[in-house]
Amino acid sequence: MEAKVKSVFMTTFNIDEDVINDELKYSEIPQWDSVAHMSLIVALEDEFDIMIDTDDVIDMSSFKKAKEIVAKYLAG
Amino acid sequence: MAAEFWTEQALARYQGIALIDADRELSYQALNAEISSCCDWLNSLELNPAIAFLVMEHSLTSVVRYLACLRTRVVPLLLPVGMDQTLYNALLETYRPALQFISDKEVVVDRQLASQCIDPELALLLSTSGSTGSAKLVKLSTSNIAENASSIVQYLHITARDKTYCNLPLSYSYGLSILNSYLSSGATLVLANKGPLDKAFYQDLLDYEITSLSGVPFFYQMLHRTGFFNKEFPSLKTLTQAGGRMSEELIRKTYQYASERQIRFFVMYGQTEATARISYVPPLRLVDKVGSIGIAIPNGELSLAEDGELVYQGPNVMLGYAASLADLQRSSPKQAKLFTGDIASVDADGFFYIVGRKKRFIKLAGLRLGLDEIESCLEAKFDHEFMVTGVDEKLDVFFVSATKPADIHALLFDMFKINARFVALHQLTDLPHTDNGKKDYQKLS
Repeated sequence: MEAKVKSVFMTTFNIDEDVINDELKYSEIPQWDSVAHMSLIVALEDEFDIMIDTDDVIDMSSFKKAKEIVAKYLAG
Repeated sequence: MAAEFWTEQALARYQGIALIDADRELSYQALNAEISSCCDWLNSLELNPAIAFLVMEHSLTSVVRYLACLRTRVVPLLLPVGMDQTLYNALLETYRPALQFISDKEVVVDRQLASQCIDPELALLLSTSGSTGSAKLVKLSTSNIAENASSIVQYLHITARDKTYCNLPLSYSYGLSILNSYLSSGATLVLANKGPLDKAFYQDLLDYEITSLSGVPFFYQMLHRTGFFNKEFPSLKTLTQAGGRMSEELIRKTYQYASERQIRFFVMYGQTEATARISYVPPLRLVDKVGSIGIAIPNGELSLAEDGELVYQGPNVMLGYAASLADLQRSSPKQAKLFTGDIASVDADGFFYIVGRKKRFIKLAGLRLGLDEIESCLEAKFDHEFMVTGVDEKLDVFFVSATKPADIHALLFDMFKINARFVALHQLTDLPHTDNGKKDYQKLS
């Protein structure tokens, strides 16, 4: 799952794998701006076939958070 | 003639808080004092008249500098934060400013470039694409700024009791128009670089008891996706939308939320060439006029040219365009009419509807982007021919060589802040040309 989330981050933000770690946070790199964040949500929903709640759209403020949130939905 | 809200007398009429940023707040009286001392400093440089580059942060410092420029004979070009260095350098080369406010902390003065001969009517320069800083500029006068602010105050009914949240870039005509109109009413502005994706945004709306919000369609998409329409903000009285066409579904959703809470929702239309605002839909008519850009603002007039092009006339129509330093020096023949480049129709009630585009530009997430500009930038970088087309919310890039898609995406992001999600790349064996060798865009569709 982590590898899939990472791959979504790489394609959505057009960044290299080595930039992505648990500390990567929303708006701290130019590639992760508000437009990219909305794309990220859509891409994760498509990749994992989930519907992300409104609160989680805001909560997904780091790579670490993204993994936790996706895991929560997959656990169902 | 509308009042010049930035003068000492105009600002002295108000008692309340003018501006709040992340660090501090300023009363109208304190704002007046800070502008005056900034003017003293500007005058002491003996640069006047001069061109200044002013990077507009969401801060009191940036706003004070902007207002001080309006009071003196320093003409600022307002630029966005985080602009690409190559584009910035190209502007430097073209306009040779005596002053550069690179950030709130970094100021560069070059006295050798001072005392340029500048059109005495010229007061402000804005880029035609507020977020990328295109080299083509719009020239505005003090009267343009004062008149447009006054029209906006009239139709939005802004009063000194209003408290707005300004998170749009202040280098962008829509963002700047909020600053101008709320300051001319004695209202309070909260300047913040936060949006619906930041938790603090929602807390700010409640803590500051914000009465109005303004945004481009993408802002409303974010509001929708983050659950704004399920939440309550008791102080909120006004919502405004401009900066591109919003989907009818989202207009209806916003209208429903607003009308159930006695919030007025204004759908509006404008261009930097008209300082900012051109038309609006009166909130009570919106339910029947979804998809319309509305009627002209007070003191303005809309009409259709023979070919259907939307034409605007009003005291906020720019002095003209500038593409070189010489264009800042000569006074332009006063433009009575602005040809908007949009093709429109009008209904029996006098409401206008955009039906197409004459010029080659599109809007992505509220940013206006010149297709020709993107095209020539790609060609310069990759040294082969490109063709760029698109409709709102989608950019099509056609090319022939083996350029890597990731490189094209990277360039579009670095130079124009275009996210890859909005871009479709098409690699062709040949790009279509007309008989006389011009690129044939018709054949692409």
